[in-house]
Amino acid sequence: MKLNNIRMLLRAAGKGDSRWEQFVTISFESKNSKPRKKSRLVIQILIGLSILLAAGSMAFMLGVNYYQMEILGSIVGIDGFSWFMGAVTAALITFMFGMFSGGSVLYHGKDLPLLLVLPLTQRELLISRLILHYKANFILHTILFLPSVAVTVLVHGFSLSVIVAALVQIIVAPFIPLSLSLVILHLFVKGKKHSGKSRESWAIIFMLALLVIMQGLASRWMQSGMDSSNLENFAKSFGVVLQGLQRVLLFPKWQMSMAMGNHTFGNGLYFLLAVSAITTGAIFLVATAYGETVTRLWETSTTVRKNNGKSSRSYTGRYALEWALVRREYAIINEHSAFKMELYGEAVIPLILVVVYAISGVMGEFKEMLEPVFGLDIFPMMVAGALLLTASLSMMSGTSYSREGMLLALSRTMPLEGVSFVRGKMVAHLMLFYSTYIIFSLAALAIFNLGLFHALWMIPLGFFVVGSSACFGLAIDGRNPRLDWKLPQQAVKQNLNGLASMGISFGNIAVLTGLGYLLTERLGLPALPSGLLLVAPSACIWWLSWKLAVSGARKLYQAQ
Amino acid sequence: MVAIQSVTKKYGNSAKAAVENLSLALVPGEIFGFLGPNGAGKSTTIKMIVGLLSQDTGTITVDGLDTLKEPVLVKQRIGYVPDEPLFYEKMTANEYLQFICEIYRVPNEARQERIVRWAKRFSLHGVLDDQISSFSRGMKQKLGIVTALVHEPRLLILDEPMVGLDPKSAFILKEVMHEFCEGGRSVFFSTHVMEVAERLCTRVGIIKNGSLIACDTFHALQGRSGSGDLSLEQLFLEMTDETE
Repeated sequence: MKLNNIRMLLRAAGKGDSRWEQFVTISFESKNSKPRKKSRLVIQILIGLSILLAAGSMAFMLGVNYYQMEILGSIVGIDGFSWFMGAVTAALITFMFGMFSGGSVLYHGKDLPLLLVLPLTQRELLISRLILHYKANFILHTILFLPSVAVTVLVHGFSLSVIVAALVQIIVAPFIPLSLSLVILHLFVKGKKHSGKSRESWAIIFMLALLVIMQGLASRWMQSGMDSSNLENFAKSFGVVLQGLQRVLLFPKWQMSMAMGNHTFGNGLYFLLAVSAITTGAIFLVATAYGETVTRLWETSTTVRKNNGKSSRSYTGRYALEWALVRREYAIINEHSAFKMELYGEAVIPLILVVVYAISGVMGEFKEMLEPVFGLDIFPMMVAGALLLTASLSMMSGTSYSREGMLLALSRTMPLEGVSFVRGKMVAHLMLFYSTYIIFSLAALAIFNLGLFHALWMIPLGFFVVGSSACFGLAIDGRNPRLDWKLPQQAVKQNLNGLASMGISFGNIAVLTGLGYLLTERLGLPALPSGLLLVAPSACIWWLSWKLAVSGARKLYQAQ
Repeated sequence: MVAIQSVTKKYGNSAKAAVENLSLALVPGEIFGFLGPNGAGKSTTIKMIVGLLSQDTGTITVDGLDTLKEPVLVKQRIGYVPDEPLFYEKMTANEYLQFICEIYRVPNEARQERIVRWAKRFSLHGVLDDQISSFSRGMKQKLGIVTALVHEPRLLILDEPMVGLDPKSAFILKEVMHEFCEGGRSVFFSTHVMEVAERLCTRVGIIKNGSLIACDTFHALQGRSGSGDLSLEQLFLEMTDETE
């Protein structure tokens, strides 16, 4: 085995996979002119800061959870329980991400067909891929684990054992979930039980559910002002379960004991030996047939069959063309898991949050908190405004043309006017975001006992506001689509068109909110007529946005 | 069928034209082979005819319709096979063909029959319900050809259509091109395979550095060269100076 070969493989993989490269290539027409260079730097700094802010807020959210766990632990007699939970959470989510990314890195990497024909040993290839797998998940594990270290330091103070345990565990602990993901991936691939996509989908669903539950718990605890009386009740009910968990889950138990100075050396040794054994076992299992497995996967293409061979006929009614274009939109979204995660997530996460809040009782508390403003005429407007904001802040249309990438050339050969594409894209947008807005609106009217008659203005208002966010998004993306992306994330997450369209949607809602305030608070009109009156300006804004979207599409689809 | 008149196209600020003062006409019922070295301007010309690119000067008409003034009507008349086939890969072949039929407004009652007929012709019938992402390069090329034919266009434009095809499929495509022209429709295709152009084409046009340097039947080109027994390959190399 040549170490130089492994180093070369890692360097080659890094060339196409640099995280920073994703931000550097953010859409600019000319990369060399000086003003562009300056604005690029500013944007990169802004993006860097927003990433730090996002990571910071996630760390804070976790910290709140871990802090509550620490208090809970002290009630049931477990010191350092936040560390324990930090280790469990980091391991669980790293395991899920490991399942998600491991398949691509180890077995389905786009560079594997190229590497398989190079004079490399199976072991060199495997080790380079394992290092990449570790690198891809190390930062995530650290972000998830570090807040528990911070909480431990906050509660128990600095000590040598905390520092040593933190350093060792940050480096070594990811091996446990990653080894497990490795074994399961290997069994999946060997057994060919499930396609890579179904494996990824389950990992995404599990991970989203986990994040939403954590968010729900964090909100609940923050709302109760970190009151420990709730925790005492919780400890009475679940204290035995927590103690049992702490006894059974050996790895986090050793990790916690290391940090709390409870036989630091002994527990550290157990931990390191066990991690080494598991990692070696997992690598040994995978290494037995790695080369053959990868070769077999690339030799046989996965054939995905639908309808058991019976050719399906598509809908052929009056709106068949529009329906065909809508289905095309979803076919493009379904091409990449990055698109699916972003767009379906934007539409569905608020819905999951409502369910979680309702189950966890936060919704009831929220209702109580809002009771003083229930009687205000403007309250239904406030509800509608909040719901419209949720429905409008999406990347769906602001990145719609960009998502097509090279396929835009295919669209441009089709005998259709730009307006047809806009119609299809807007309907696809409404299906995802207007439908969820309707569900939210009806649920909100029922929860807050506002009277279903408010749906008379909330439903049409929502149509025009969500519709105009779709059209503004299309107008922006249609004028300068980002088509030359290499990674799907560049078309959505790192596409400034999406951010700009969200900004315009926000402005649109701000204008309507101002008008609503004027009608109810200044002119003293009740909510129902005010809401009905608001439909007219929202329809005008929608008409303007529609014109802009159509003119953008006309230019985009004409010969260049 | 197709009339290209004094067309020039430059990319961006480039001083050199990709296509310069190009004029040619395609008559109904003919198979026209468009030949030229790499970078000569073949794909640029094709992309201007199908409406992907606009010319800087000159006009292009298809069935008398200006490609820039009536792009939708022109596209409706064209079946286009690009050099690199592009599809929505998460659709099955059948879903994709149904989608194309919808876009080109193929009558409902004719759709499934046409899809099955063309799929059978190119041996894709058994994989119609498979996702396109599982197709090989050759199968995708065949699906691209079926896509171009399923809406029964008046003009078939193919950019390097033989690439990736197995011998049987290449043979079938040549048959199809002949049959297509029998009803007064036309085929315009680019290729680097001189034997195919020699046997298949009614006329050939040779483009070099963006300019058309020859446009005639194979026999007329032979006659013009002064030697009656030169192959199209030899003529091509001679005209494009690639033997030097």
